[in-house]
This record gives sequence, structure tokens and C-alpha cells, in this order.
Amino acid sequence: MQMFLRHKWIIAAGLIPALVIYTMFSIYPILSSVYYSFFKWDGFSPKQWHGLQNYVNLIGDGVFWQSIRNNLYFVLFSVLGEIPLGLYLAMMLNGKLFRRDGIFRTVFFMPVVISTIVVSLIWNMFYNYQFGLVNTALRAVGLDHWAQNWLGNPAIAIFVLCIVVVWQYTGLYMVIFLAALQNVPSEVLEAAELDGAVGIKRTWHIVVPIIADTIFASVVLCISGALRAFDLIFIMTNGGPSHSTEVGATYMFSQTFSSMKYGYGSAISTAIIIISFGLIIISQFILRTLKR
Amino acid sequence: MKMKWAKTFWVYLLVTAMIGVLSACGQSDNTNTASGNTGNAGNTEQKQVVLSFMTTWSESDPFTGVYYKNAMAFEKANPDIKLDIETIPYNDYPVKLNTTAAGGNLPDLILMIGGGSMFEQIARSGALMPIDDMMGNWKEDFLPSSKIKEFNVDGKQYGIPGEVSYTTVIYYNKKILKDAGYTEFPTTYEAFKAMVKDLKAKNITPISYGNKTGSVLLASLLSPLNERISGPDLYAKIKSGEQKFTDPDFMNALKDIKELSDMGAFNVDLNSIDNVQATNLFLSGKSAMYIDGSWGAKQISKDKAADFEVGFAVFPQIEGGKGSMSTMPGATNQGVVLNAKLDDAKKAAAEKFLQFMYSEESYQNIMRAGNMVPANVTAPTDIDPLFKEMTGVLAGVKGITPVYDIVMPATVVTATKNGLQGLTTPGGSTPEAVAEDLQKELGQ
Repeated sequence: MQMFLRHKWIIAAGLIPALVIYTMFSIYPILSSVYYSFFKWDGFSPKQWHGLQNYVNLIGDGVFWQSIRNNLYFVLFSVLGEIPLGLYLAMMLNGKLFRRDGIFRTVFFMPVVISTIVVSLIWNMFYNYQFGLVNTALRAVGLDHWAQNWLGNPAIAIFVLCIVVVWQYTGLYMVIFLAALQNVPSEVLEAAELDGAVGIKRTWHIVVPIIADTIFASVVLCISGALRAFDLIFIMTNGGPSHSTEVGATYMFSQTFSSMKYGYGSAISTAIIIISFGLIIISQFILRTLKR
Repeated sequence: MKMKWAKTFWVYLLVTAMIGVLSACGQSDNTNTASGNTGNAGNTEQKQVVLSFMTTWSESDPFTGVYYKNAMAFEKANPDIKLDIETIPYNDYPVKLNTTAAGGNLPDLILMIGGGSMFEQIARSGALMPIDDMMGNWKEDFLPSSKIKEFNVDGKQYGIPGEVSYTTVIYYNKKILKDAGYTEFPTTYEAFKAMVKDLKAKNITPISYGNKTGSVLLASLLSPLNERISGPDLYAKIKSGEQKFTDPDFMNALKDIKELSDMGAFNVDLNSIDNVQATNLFLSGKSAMYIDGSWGAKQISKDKAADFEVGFAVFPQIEGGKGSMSTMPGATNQGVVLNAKLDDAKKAAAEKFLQFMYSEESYQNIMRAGNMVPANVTAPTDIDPLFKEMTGVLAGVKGITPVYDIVMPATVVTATKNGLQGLTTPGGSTPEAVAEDLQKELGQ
């Protein structure tokens, strides 16, 4: 330890490469995007100073708020879907029945490893109106009127996408929880059992409090992941039909690069940063209160 | 202890330095090939000029394979010129083009899929090299200037199109229509609508569209409706402010689309599938018609079953409209343009490339692949019979109306695509709301 303190420059030398890269590819673009958000700019002609007009337009832009609402659906589904399901699966796999079977762990973790493009294409086929697995299955059991255009119906499309996200990432949280569960001391569990705490009771009063820190960390991961959602939607629906599955990132992309409104797109991304910060702070606050 | 620390540190530093050197090597390698060894005094061997080229062309693609093969033939014929091709998928190409142009990183040769607002913007920014001094290579009677004007900005020619395409051709399943009692394709819009209704009543999906990207309904339904209702110059009038999106002319086209959608004229999932999937619906007999640009014929010809009979039709006449069936919205495509910063050696190589790519022989290859071309060349005898039939049906079309994306700014184009998806989605937008949105977008 003393070595570290005496040679602060060694630490600095170790950090600098990462710091330089982080500044160049993360901090600098964020700051320049904030700067661009004050201009009206199509990427080619000279930038025109636009003041706060982009932000005024943004506040009146219904599509933007719809995309943020869709982001919130993603957050809700992720936090209330991935985490409980991941915990449930982890407990199953940690139980006596499956403990020795590595195969299930692999199966549930598989979606996390597959590239999002492949996931999107597979689910696009599942959801296809004419030939898709979902509709074929429904028609096969005589539920023809339930069969529908899953990704093309604005009322349900975003929820249909949420299912894919939950499917894709539950495995990740399962592995995290599995690691945490394996660190729960068996003496504690045995003692609880002797005192009559079994099943749900044991889970809720003994196991969950012990791995609470892991759960909180996962919630934060989950929220930030859901706010960043882009690739899956971009490939599966491209934000359509008619903006109904638009999230912040896809709307920013289409405004910036398809409509060539670089200034407005920058304003959208700045707004996303602010909203994300807000959500993370709120969630931290809630979790801290829960902890007490 | 201290010794050990110092040693670790030096090992770490060494590794970092090595990585730095290695990556630097890689980089200098790249710049060497990119600059193509031009003007290198120490080089006694014959110099090879390398032209970097950004394009969507790829060998196995039914739409652009022929261009790729022509480019390969050029390389073979000119061993002193090498093409360094970067292939970008069609749907991502506009974004890639736009960002590289905005960042000032354009390669030596750039494909322009079509003319239009984005191309004009890049040309006006000074990033492209006018080729007026090369135009002597093409005689007016071979390549009429009226056919290449979409690649002309402010009087300067920047490129030459490889093909001409109409954005709306109706492909129909002859058997389905015959079984439903239609031996002739209707020539008036009212009769067309009646047929759609009739097909729907017989439980047949009348028309399949693949509008996931939003561009198909714009090019292959809104554009012909606008032309038939208001004549060829509606967009120009709207852009100049003489007309508005909210005026009856444009509104009627939107209402017609809404009406078609409400009567169930389209496949239910039109906004969730792309045009390849929609073509497959049509070819598997799940829809009576498929509407797409003239380029759609290529996939149909390639994928159709041997006994599948395709008919071709021109978008019908609207009674009382200002347009006519002898005009069609269309565009010229696949022009290669040059980076303004080319040095003399590269410019000479690029000129050779253009001469080769837009020669009589290359145009004939393009026709063989099922495209109409802007140049006056003798049609080769071995062209696809299906394509020949289509050009026969389209022979009555004399005039081309500029398409929407050529005339309108990108922001209005994007808004229109979304508006059309909204119109054709259950519980989506009304024609009035869409028109107001567009007018607002244009005004900004």
C-alpha cells in the first residue's frame, strides 16, 4: 500500500491511457453534442445559432415524449421482468434439482451471448404475420382471431418488443444472482430451516436480504441498459410503424441521420442524458430508502 | 521490493510501447495503399493507382450484381488501376454517405444511388468534382442530356446514371385475377378500386407491399396518385409555396391511400415486412398484386416458380385528374461521382473508370440484368423475356415525373414516410393530421 502512495505517478501512468481514450471517445463527443444542440445545422452548410429553440421544439414534440414513454416501458419491463425472472431461475438452478446440471445454465445464458442482430431476426420470424411461429401456433389450436400483426399493431408493438428484451437479458441477471446465491453461507440457511423458515418465507426473509446489494446493482444496470436500447428496435421495427415503437435513441438517430437535423438530434441526445441521470438518481434514492 | 515494482512498471511500459508501434505500423500501411504510391520517386516499378470506392454493389445482389461485375471487368482490363471497394448495405447507405460527407472523409469514388436533395447538398458543399471536362467521351445522341440531368447541379455535371427506373409498376398474378373474372387489367382508378373490393370479398389479399422502411408507399403509391390527380409538377409547386400539402390536391391522394387501407387492400403486415418478403408473399400466391418500382421485376424473375404467370400494368387513370397513364414517376440511378480532392493521376484513372462503366457494352450488360438504361443502345438479343414483356407494357410511358425524394428536403421525406405508415396502420393518423405535419416540417 505504501508503495502506491509513494509512487502516485505510477498510478497516474497506468490510468492515463484509459483516461485519454475515454475523454476522446466519450466525454468530448458528449460535450460537442451539447454544443451542437444550440445550432440549426444540416451537417453541410454553416451552423446557424439557434439558441434554445431546439429545446423549445423538443418540449412541444409529441413523438419525442412518446419515445421517452416507450423507454420507460422498457425500464419497467426490464426491472420488473428480468430481475424477478433472473432471480427465480437462479434459485431453481441453485436448488438441489438442477445444481449439478450445467446444461440449464448454458441454455438460459445463451440469449445473452447471441448477437442482437441474430436475436432480432429470429424474433422477427417468430412474429411474422403470415408464417411466424406465434401465429402458426395460435392458428393450429383454433385461436385464429388471436393471431395478429404483432410488430405492426401500434397498440401492442412496444410490449411485444419488451418480451424480446426480457428474453434476451434475463440470463445475464440469472448468472449474476447465481454467483451471489452461491456465496450465501449454508449455515445460515440450515439455521433458518431449523427455525421453520422454508420455501417462500426463507427466500424472502433470509436469501433476498443477504444478496440485496447484488439486486440493487442489477437494478441500476437494468435501468441504464433499458434507456440505451437501440439495436434491437432499429432492426426489428426501425421505430415504426409511424413512430409507435420509437425510443429516445432511435428517434435521435432518425432525426440526426435521416432527416439531417444535426442540431435537433443533438438536443434530443442531450435531453436523453438528462432524463437518464434523473432516473438513475431517483432509482438510487428509492433503493437507499428500501435498504434502511 | 522496490526493484520488483520498477521491473513490473518497465515491462508494462514496454508492452504499451509495442502496442503503439504495432498499431502505428498498421496505420502507415493503410495510408500507403490509400495514396496509391503516386509520385513516389524511389519507386521504379510501374505505378498502380488505387481508387477507394464506396458503393452498395455486391456480386450476389440481384439489383447491383451487374455493376459489380462490370467494375471487376474494368479492373481486369486495366491492371494498373486497382479499386479498393467498400460495400455498404443499401438501407444503410444514405446514412453512411451523409456522415462521411459531413465529416469530409469521402473516398475517391462514391456511388450516388440517385440524384436528389442529399446528392445536391454534397455537390454544393464542394466535396465533389464536376466532370464537365470529361463529358466529351459521351456523344449527345448516345447519352441525351435530358436523361442525365438528375446528376447535374447548378449547370455542372457530376456523374452519369447507369439505369432508369419507374417507381411504380403493378405486378399481378394472372391466374388469380383470371379466376376472379378479370382478363384485362383495369385502366381506370374506379374500376381498379372495384376490383380490389371484389378480391377482398373473395378473401384474397389484393395488394402486397413491403413498407417497413417507409419508402415503398412513398415511391409506389403516393407518387403515382399525386401524378394522376395533379399532374407532374405538384411537388415543385408545394416546395415553392404555390400549393400546400393541406390543399385538396395532395389531401385527395392521402385520402385515397386511407380509403384503400380501410377497405383492406393491403397485406395486414405491410409496415412490418420489407419488399423482399412482400415479393415472396406475392410469388407464393398469397396476394393478387404486388406494387413496387420497375426494379422489383428482378427478384420476381429470379424467384418465381416456372408456372407462375406475372402480368404487368401501369397505374390506372383517375377520372378528372390532370395526370395521364403516359407519364410515370421515375428516377435515374447508379451514378459514380468523384471526390473533389483527386490528384491528376487518380483523376485520369477515374475518367477511365467512368468511360468503361458507362460504355455501350456496360449498358448492354445492365440491360441483360433487367434494367432500363438512359443511353441509346441496341438491346442485346439475350435479355430476360420477363423483362422484355415489362418494357413492352411500359413502352407507352413517355414522360418521367421527378420523384418525391429528389424534390423534397430530407426532413420532409422522413416525415412523409412516417405519415404514410400512420395512414395505413389501424388506429393510426388521419389524412388531415399527416398533411398538417408535413406542411409544418416544410416550413421549418
